Parts: sequence; structure tokens; C-alpha cells
Amino acid sequence: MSAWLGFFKKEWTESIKSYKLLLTILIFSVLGILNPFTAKITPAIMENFMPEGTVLNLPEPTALDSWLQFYKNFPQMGLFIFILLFSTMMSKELEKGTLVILLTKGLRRSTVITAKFATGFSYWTLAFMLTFIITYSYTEFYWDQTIVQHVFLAAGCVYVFGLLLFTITLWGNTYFASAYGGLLVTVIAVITLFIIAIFPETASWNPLQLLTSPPQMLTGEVALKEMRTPCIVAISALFVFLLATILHFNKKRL
Amino acid sequence: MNTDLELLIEYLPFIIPLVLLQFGLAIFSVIHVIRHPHYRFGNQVMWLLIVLFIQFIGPLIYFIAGRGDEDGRVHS
Amino acid sequence: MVVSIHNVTKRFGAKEVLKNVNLTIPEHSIFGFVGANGAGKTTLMKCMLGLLPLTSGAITIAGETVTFGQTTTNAHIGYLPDVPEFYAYYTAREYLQLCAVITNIPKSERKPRIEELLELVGLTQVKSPIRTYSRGMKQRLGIAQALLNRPKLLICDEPTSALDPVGRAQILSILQAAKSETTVFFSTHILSDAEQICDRVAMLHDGTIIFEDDLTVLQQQVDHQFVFTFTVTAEQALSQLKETEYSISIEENAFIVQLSSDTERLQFMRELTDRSLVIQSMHPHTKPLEQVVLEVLK
Repeated sequence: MSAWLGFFKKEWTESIKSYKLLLTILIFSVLGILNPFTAKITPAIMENFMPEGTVLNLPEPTALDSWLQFYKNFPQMGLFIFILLFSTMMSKELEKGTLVILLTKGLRRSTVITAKFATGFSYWTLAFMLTFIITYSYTEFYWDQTIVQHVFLAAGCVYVFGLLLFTITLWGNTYFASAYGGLLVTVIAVITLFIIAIFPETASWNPLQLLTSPPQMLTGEVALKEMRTPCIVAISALFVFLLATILHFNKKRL
Repeated sequence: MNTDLELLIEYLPFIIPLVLLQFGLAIFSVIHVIRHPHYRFGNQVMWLLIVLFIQFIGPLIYFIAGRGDEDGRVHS
Repeated sequence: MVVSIHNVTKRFGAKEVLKNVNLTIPEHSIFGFVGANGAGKTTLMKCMLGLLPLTSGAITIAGETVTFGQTTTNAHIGYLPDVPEFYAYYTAREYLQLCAVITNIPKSERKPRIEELLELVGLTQVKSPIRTYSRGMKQRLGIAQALLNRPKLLICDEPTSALDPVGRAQILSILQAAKSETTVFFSTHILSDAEQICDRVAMLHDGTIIFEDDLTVLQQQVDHQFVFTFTVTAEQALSQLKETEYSISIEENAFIVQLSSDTERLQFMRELTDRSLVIQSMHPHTKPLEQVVLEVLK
């Protein structure tokens, strides 16, 4: 256990020294502010761009608009940047050969993978919490949030999907041992999910629903229980990819 | 004018933190660009311009792609 | 025997890098492992560490069989790669602390052990991060981390080959000092390094061990050879000496002569004077170890 903690601590030190902590805090705070900001300012901007005298009946923005911005920006910008930041965790070590010494000192190979996964997990949690709490606070301050349903659970769906994507990246990065391997695999995985989603009957289990459905969950168009299967599928897939990464790395030639 | 000022005050809770974060990041990045004069590609002037004038995205690109290797050597 | 390698074969695709290698390493010795680049030295070392799978055969270290991937035998080994790579943002002390945690050294023993090793490799005073280290400093830190858990076997892959003479001498004296508590298995292609510290030498050539013996046996073969150069070309000198019975060979316009005793040496000098050959230089013959071993085999 102490070996695991030691390696986990090394992962954190490394992420801080390579400015990942700083960037994560910064980017995800900004995202958190931008969501309600964009929702609030959009009607004002629209009015300014309209010719004088046009009567626009723009409805006042509501809490829903703020959360819609959240579901637009956080998966697109946030998740993308997060994957980019943590897409070279394994390949960097494998390319340089920094793991060889630690492994010959008796470090378990599974420790390497689980500690790296735990680091990514912590960072994703931090990133998610930052954006969510900031957006939530602003929305609470400006609008009435009782009109939106399942605020926490809808956000939780996106959180789970992000974790799945990170695990896929970790697998690809370990398997191909190159910086682009992880990214490529992740892109292919997302495209595959979108292709599957073309067939409407797959909506009952496709993990992509975790990404696309939350806005409808807020309005109550999608019931909570419809998310259960996609969520279970996503978490199962996550464990399958994590296990595959460990098993592959156990037999990797170094 | 009056309405503009009101508008500004209304948006102040958004603008203040955003401006602070933006300036903090820009200054931090500029210091880093000057103190670590090794980049994977490009030169110092280019990175200074990127970091200063492209808000948020500039520093992000610098720290993810442009920053030289930890050991100070130019990435080959 | 701390290591026994039994009938080990290793193929990369169709290429056979190691062919039926058999080798045993006795405890508390310094074992030199010689071979040209690409002979398979690093491959064999990686197999001993479980970093590469064997095609066939078996390796046991301290009585336990090495398995590919996760292997318990690594607990007995300290390994110094040919180009050791560390986390550049750590200092030597921090890096050794990480290694100490990983290799399960009891908490109370960590600090004294780390200080002891930093003292041994001469890095006590260095406070800067590893990214600023020279090649030699990295090599010394590599030895420190390898010795950290008091391994039964220390494996060093070409520890001296990229260093200047000072750095080389430092590494050799550290390895010499390590002999008291461990067995050292190191690869090199430099005769003088092996000569200074090795007890036994094995040579790998084209994937097979072609020679394995005590170093003293080898040295006897070389010790009595001398190199002469003359004011005239070697061919001319040889033609003047052709009715003598010395074993003379010519290499790069110089004589190499086997002279086993002082009388023989005096006699040879007299012959030269008699034939009015003027000596330009004379020195004992040294050769790369590979060449010596190859000649012994002939």
C-alpha cells in the first residue's frame, strides 16, 4: 500500500510540476463563470446587433439557459482539454524509459496503472466540481433554480461519461505507447458511439446518452430511469478498459 | 450612458473574476516564457505574443504544446 | 550461485539474439560481461529482469525463477540501465526516497540508508534537480538507486562506456566497494575496466557464450606480449630477423613479440642490436578484451 501511495504522490508531484494543476483550476473556473455569463449576456448582445426600432420579444434568460450553456461548454471544451492534458500519462514514461528503474525495484505493474487512473480520476473530479459549483452558485444567485429538474444527477451523467473517455484514453496511450495513440483511440471511440446512436433503438443503452440527454433531463423530457442502463454500461465499460490496460501492461515488453 | 453603466455594474460579478484570471494567467505565462527560453517550436517573441494577446487559449496552447521539456533541452 | 541461466534462447521475430545461453554467477564476485554492440548483452540483462519474455530456457535468481512481467525476483536485484532515466524534477534525495518507499524499506531505515548511499556516490552536496545533472552524475545516482535495497545482485549495463576517465574511475571504485555486500554483474567492452575490478569474465558473441573463465587465466595470455616499432618499416625489420625463432606478428607497422621471461627479453634486445635495428618505441601490448578472448579461443 505504501508503494502505491508513493507512486501516487509521484504522479501528483509530476502533474503539479508540469502545470497541470494550475491549468485545470484556471480553465475549469473560467468555464464555470462563462456558462451563466453567456446565458445572461446573449439577449443584450442580440438587441445591440438588431437594427434600431426592431421589436424583439426576447424572453428573459432563465436558470435553464445557464445550464444549457454548461452542457454545451463543459463536454465540448472542458472534456476535450482534460483529455488533451492527460493523454500522455503512460506514453511519456514509456518513451523515456523512466518506469524501468522503478519496476526493477519491485514496483507492481498494476500499481502504475491504478495510480495513474486515480490521478486522472482526481483531476476530473476536481475539474468537474469547479465548473459545476461555480455555475451552480451564479445560477442560484441570478435565477430561480426550481424550474430545472435533476440538476445534480444530470451533471453526474456527464461526469461519468468523462471518466469513461479518460479510461479509454489511458488504455490507448498504454497500448500504443505514443502520445497520439490515446487521442486517436478516444476519437474513434466517440465516433463509434455516434454511429451507434444513428439507430434510435440503441438509445436505451448507448453511453453517449449520458452526454446528449442531460439538457432534456433538466426539462423533464427524459426520465431519470432512462439513464440507468447507459450509466451501467458506461461504468462497466470503464472497468473493462481499466482491466484491459492493467492486463496489457502486465505483459508489456519494456 | 446611464444604461451602459448599469449594464456594467450588473455584469461586474462575472467580469471581475474573469479579468483577474485572464491577467493572472497572462502574467504567469509571460514570466514562464521568459524564464524558460526553450520551446518545442517557435521562438520567444512568437510565444510572448500568443500568450499575451490570445486570451486563455494562448497560454493553454503554450503550456500544452509549446513549453520545452522539463530538463530544459529542446524537444527533438 | 546467485544467478543461473539455463539454455536461454531469445528470438525477436526470425532473428535469434540469444542462442542456448548457459551461465552461472557465483556470490560475492564481480562478473564482467563482454561483447560487441548488438551481441545481445542488454537483451540477456532485460530477460534476467523480466522485462522481456524468453523464447525458451529458464533463469533463476537467488533460487527463484524469473517470470516475464510481474516478477518477484526483482526484489533481489538492483539494476542500472545503460542510459538511466529519472524524473527530472526530483532531486537525488527525493528520487531515492521514492525508490525507498517502492522497495519497502522500513521507514526508520530510509533516511540513514539514503544518506549513506549519497555519500558513497558523492552526491551529498548536490541540491539541484536531476535535470541539471551530467551524464556521470546520473550514472552515479543510478548506482545509488540500484544498491538502495541491498540487492543480492547488482546488474549494470555498460556503466562506464559513455564517461570520461575521471567518471569511469569513480564508477569502478563504487562497484569495487559494492562487492563486499553484493554480487556485481556488469557489461563492458573495455579491457582495462574489466581488468581493474573483475574476478570472472564471460564473453557473448553472436548470441552465445564463447568464453567464461577467471580473469587471471586471460591475463597470462596477454601479459608477455610487447610491441616494438623501429626506425625502419616492420617488414624490413622482419626480413632482418627472419632466422630467429621468436613468434613475431606484424600489426600496423609494429612488431608484436611473445617474450615470456627476462632472459628472453634481454636476448631479443641483443638480437636487435646485433642486426643494428634502432628501436623507436617499445611497450607492453594491450588489446580490447574481445580481441584477447577471440585469440584465446583460436
